[in-house]
Amino acid sequence: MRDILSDKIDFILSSIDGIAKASPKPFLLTRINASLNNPVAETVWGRIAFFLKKPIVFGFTILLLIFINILVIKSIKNKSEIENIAKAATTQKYDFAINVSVLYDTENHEP
Amino acid sequence: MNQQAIFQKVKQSEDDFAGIVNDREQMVYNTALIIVQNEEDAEDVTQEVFLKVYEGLKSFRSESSLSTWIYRITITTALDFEKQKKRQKRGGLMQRVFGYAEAVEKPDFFHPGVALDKKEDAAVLFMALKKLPEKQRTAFLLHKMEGLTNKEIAAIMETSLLAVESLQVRAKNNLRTHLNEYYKKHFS
Repeated sequence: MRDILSDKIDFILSSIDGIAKASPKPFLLTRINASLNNPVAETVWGRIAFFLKKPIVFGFTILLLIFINILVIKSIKNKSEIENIAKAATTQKYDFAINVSVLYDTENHEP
Repeated sequence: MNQQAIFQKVKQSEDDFAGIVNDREQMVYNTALIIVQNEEDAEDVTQEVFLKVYEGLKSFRSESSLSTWIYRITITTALDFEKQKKRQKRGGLMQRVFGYAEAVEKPDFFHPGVALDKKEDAAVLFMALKKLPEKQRTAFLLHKMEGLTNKEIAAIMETSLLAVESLQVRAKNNLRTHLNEYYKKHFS
């Protein structure tokens, strides 16, 4: 098995020996001259896209988004905690008011 | 310098450039093709190389031969093109992560100059070549495909003769390892 594989690999390594040259499509010079005479105009959007495409910018943007997300989640958590405390206080107050009114009613009967 | 002389000089430089393109288009295209492994990409790289040659001709000092200089530009441009393409492909990472597409290792480049009965084997070799480090791949390909001597390769790669020989030996060993793994994985 090893010999067959080794022979196969030798055969593959020699498969590009004596390879014929490939040729580009015709009129290459014409196309090059056209590119030389009409250079692609660099637009503002093109420059912005080039800047955003850089891996470091891309990575930084992702990290910034994650950081903003964490901040938003934290602030929502804090807000809900404060709301809960306020709610609890209101409930306590309301309960006290009911209890007092009930006591008042039971203790002060109408003649 | 009168206008006629300026016109003559411009015409002369245009003729020189046209001569360079006609003489070396096949050399540039073939070198680009074996690196980027795609005919359309190789066309783009060839065009870009000649644009760089046109711009660099004025500052070209004959410290190296014109062919060596053009080979150097071609290799750098083709490798940069390949890196850029790889970076764009990495954008498909999300797709791979979510299972929309699978990264499958398969031979996909069929060089137009390879004999029909060797096409499949050559495609496997080109696939394995992609896994080699840039320097090893360059040294191997320039020798095997372009038929350059080690001295010429050393001049192009701006390194020593010994380094080129070492790169070629390592390239061959690594290719053997990659091919071995490929066949064990797919045909055992």
